[in-house]
Amino acid sequence: MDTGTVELLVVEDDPQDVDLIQQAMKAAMLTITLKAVPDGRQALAYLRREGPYSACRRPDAVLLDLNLPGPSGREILATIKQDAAIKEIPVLILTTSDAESDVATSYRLGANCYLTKPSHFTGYIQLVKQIEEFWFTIVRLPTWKP
Amino acid sequence: MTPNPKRYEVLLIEDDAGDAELIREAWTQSGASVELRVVDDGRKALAYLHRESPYEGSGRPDLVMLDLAVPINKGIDVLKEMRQDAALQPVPVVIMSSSNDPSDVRQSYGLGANCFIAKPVGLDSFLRIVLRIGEFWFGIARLPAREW
Repeated sequence: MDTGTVELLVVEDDPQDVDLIQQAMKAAMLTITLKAVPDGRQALAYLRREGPYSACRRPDAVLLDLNLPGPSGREILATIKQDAAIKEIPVLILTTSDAESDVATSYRLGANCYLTKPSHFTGYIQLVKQIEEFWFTIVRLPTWKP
Repeated sequence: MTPNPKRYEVLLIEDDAGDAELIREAWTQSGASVELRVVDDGRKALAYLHRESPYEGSGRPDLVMLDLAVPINKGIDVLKEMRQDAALQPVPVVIMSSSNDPSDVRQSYGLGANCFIAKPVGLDSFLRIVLRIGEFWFGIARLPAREW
């Protein structure tokens, strides 16, 4: 896959975490296009290309925080995976929670993988590299007609 | 790959003996701590996953590698059944397929595959892919705890 065309939607209410991901991608010299929304409602509107997001392309994958204002990440995950129009989009959970119950629930709800937030910037660089090397290099992602 | 004392169990559902051997060799060469179990059709896969005869003593795999083209119960039927079974729902399923058809990719994700990987040709390519699978699933991702 040509990584220059890959787009990742980050659903994260903490702008510092969005910035960390962005900076880590820059440091790792990745050319992934990063889009960010701060809550689940906007994430659903983005994925469904509604309202202000009607002209957006569908992202190749979603990086979803579990703890969001309004509907939780779990609720958003469940909604995505029950919506026939968008359920094929891979959803990668990225959270601070290390709880077994969150891991199991996320996979049950259809998360494509579960990742924990690193505690330092170097960890973020490693993480975004691994995401790129696995999800955007080895894995075949679903494709849509424009 | 970061050394990890945990031994992971991978269930490979693959009817092509040559591909199964390449994947086994790739896991061995990867240095990952993996116990590979192989079944060659969908019926045996479901018996294994449900711990039915002759697999009563099997453990729940940490990861399933599933070829879509296995006989008897097709790969897609195995995936569907796993996702309808509460105990098997959380187990990550990596589709390994030689299909180039985008509809197979979409259908697999739509039915709950965790990821879709095109089957490579030759040991070197299998090794590269198996290394990445091991690094990602056993080094970076959190896996659900085994319930049996």
